[in-house]
Amino acid sequence: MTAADPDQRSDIIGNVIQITMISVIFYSGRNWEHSYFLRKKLEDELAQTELKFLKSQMSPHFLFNVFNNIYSLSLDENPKTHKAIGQLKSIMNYIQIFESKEEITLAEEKYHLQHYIDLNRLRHTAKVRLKSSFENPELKIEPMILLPFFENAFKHGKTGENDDIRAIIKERGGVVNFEISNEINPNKRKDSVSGVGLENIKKRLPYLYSDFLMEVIQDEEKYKVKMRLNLGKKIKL
Amino acid sequence: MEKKLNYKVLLIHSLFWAYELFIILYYGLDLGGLLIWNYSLFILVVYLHYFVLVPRIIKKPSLSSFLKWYAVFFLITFIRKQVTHYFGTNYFEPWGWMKMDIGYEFYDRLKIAVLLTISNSSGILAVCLGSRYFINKDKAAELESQKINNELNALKNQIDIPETINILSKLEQKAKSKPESIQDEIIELSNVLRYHLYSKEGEVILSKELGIVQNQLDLYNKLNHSSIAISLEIDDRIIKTGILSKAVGEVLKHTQKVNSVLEINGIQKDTFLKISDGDSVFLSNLRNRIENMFSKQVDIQNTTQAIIIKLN
Repeated sequence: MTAADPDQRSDIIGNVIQITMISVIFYSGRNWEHSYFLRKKLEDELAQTELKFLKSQMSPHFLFNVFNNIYSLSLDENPKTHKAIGQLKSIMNYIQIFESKEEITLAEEKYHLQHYIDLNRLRHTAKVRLKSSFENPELKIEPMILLPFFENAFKHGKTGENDDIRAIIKERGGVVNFEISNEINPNKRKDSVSGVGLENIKKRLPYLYSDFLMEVIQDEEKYKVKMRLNLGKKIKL
Repeated sequence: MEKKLNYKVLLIHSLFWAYELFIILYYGLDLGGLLIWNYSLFILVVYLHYFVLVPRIIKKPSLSSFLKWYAVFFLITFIRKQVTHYFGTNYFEPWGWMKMDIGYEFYDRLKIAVLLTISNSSGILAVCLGSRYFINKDKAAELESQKINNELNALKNQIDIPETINILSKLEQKAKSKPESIQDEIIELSNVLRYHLYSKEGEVILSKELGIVQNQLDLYNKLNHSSIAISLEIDDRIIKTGILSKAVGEVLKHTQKVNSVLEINGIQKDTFLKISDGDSVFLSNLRNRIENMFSKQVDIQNTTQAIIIKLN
């Protein structure tokens, strides 16, 4: 075996370097590709579990507030107490839909909202003016997006005989515009669960719709929420 | 790509540079000049690629993004060669600052740019992709842990709707004749909900969770005229949140007449809930339900007369 001349040796080393480099890039590339798709998959799964967790917070929170109302009725020895429990049983159907991953039509959503308003009206005497107009009432919407605003209005607003809670739900071309306003009752104390529902909606919306707008306008006396939801821009997780 | 460097990323960079240095030394180039002029610039160039070019061009693994990367790298290399040639021949060489080794023609510069593109870009790419692999691997572990945490928290908050409707039906009947008679039950129900909703920690003091279990048992006993109790044979200690109350909830939900005996005991630092019952089918079903509920992340042992659930 004869020794290779310097040029030949350089060529061999050069080739070895090139082959090593190409091998390294293939190896790195393959590992990266695998880790990239694994990470993407986990990110998607995490988004799903985040949403699942946020959804799981809503039902106990909602029930907790309704139980408070029923408790108040029973404290007053109000004969309507059993009626309130009966209405809550009907609302459980809505919670069941919400707990499963199903969406609900706008017409059904309005029906359940009305039911919830009726339940609250057993205790509160405020007038609730809910106006709605749907171009397509069969369009599907995620449950428990609008209802917590009513919950909030009853819980923190003035709910006496001369008070009003005004809400409008309009749907045109798959876009829902929702508005609710009430007067703030400064005498109602905030409890440990106050604000959870609204906070939850703020966190849930980005997982549900890619096109939405939510605005809370609040001063010392009035509380108003405006929301715009493009139902066609539902995110599929 | 994330703007994040960890020790593994630095290690890859160092190895790559050491490798380059070894090759340069092997070919006998001037080390001093190389380190000052070339190598310092090289570090900046690598970082420019690492943080700016590669993340913008190769966002996900695809042939088109790799081809685009090679095209961009070739353009950069070729322009660099052209600029070096221009300043080298017109200024630096006449001023005596440097010596242009070879009088490259345009075609030669093009050829060299192609060769450098293949070798250098591959090196930089290997560094970037290798780093991304480690970053993704760390992130994947973090995501997995967050995912499990969310799953468990969602589970903790889950409401058993048929069971709640069942309780509400009983309360409705009671409230018909005496509305004030359901106050305690409503408070107990609320306490259970509040506990599950707002206990964010993964661990809790046994007595705190036991208080909630007591609420569940009181509610059950009042509505079903029974007297099921839980006995405690140990001092206070830390347990995982939710396992005890969910397991007791399952016992209450699925037994027609409660014959089960519930005991909390401990062996050294471990805490257990022992559910004894003469019905082995009931116990077997109960075990399956609890395992499914916690996605098999809870340790359950069997005997013929009991199941023993580890609470910590």
